[in-house]
Amino acid sequence: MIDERLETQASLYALGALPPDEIAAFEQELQSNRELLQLVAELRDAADAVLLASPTVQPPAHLKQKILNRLESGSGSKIVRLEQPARSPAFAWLPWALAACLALVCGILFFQQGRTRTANSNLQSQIAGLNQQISEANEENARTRARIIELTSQFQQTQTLLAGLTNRLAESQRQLAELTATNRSTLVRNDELTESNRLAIARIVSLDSTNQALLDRLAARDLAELRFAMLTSTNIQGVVAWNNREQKGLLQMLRLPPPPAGKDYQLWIIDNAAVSAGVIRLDAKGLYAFNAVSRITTAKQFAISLEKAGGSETPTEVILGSN
Amino acid sequence: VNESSVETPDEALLARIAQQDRDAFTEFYDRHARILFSVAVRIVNDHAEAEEVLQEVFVQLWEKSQRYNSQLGKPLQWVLALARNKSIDRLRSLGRRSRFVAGITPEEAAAPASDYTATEAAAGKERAELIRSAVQSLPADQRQAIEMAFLGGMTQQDIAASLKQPLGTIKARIRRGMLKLRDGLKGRL
Repeated sequence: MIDERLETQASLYALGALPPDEIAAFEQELQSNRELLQLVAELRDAADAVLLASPTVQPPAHLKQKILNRLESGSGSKIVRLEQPARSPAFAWLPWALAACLALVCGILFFQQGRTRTANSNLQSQIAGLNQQISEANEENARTRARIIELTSQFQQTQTLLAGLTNRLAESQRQLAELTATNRSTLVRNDELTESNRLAIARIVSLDSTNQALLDRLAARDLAELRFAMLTSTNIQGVVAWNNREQKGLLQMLRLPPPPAGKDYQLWIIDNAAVSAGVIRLDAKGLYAFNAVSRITTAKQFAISLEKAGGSETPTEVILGSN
Repeated sequence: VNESSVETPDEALLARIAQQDRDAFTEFYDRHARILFSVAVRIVNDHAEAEEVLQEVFVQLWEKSQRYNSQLGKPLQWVLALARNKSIDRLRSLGRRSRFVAGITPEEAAAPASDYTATEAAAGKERAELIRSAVQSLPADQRQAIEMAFLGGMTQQDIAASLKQPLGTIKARIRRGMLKLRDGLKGRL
């Protein structure tokens, strides 16, 4: 297969017009491409036809003899014009000397031109290199400027953030101071409560001692008729002792707050039903001695309720009961 | 016809010339000098210079005929190439502008190159007519590009610049013209 490029090269090759830098490659292709070789042969015939189509011009008759004479004289390729005047042997060297001088001058000039071109080429290369370096430096400078702007912006943001953190730190310190003060108050309050608790425990111990004394006294009279019960809630504690034979009892309360205005605490003895033991009036020692309003058969439980002032016939709001 | 049938082949003459046979040289000159001179005149466009070219061609033939390689073409093709090359060298050494630089006009392209071409001397009247008609049948622009390259010794770039045409156009004209000429001559030479 011969493409247009090869056809063009073959045409130019046949015409002797293929560029010198393409000849070697084309002739190498010719050696391995028989089809191309055939095409070149045909195109050479075509090129010859261009020559053969030239108008005929008869060469002068004397030319043949002139050529034969040259062959006879053995002058070979040295062409001599018959019409040219013969030069004097004395100056026969002159044209050659002038030609030699001219060749020498041309050689020197050619050499100088070559050196100048080389130097010029080197300078142009150096200039191109320097321009490249300048271009790269400018680009680096632009990148550095952009980086500086970016860092400046980051620095400003960092300063703003730092100022915010400083304010928050000051606020935190202030809150810490307040918390420390609060904590100190809490500790004081805790100490106070601890002291209050210690006093309460001592009071309980004292109360227990009183209870013990009371119990001892009651036991001494008639232990078989005694009924003891504990009245407890979260903060209020009480103990009841009931002598069924004498139909009398004693109540001792601890931390029973005063009743609301218009209200009274009322004690109840639970037999078959709740029997009032009266409105609770504690004495200075926290004791309340009571009787039942009716005969108690068995005091099963005791209860305290909050009633209207003066008490009620039946319990309304029980706040404390025994087991 | 009878003469041509008994004449010594060009190859044999060249072999004898290589042995410095003057008779063979003379016979070769008589057979081909006219076509070679015509080619030289056509290229250098000067009879005196064409004579110098012809001298150089035949002196080289005498001295270097042993260089002829039959595998590269017929003897006539070899000497035609010699004449063409030496004519172009002559033209360049004289510093003259080729007559083909200016190109040919459409009228010149349309007109017959000559009533009696050099081919008749080399190939006979009938073949000469075939060759002439094949060359003249080429479109003027293709023939012009081919002649500027082949007879003017111009490069493609020179032709493109001279005709003020793109290089690709010149390449295409040369390729098409050569292929057309090849097709017109195939099997006739």
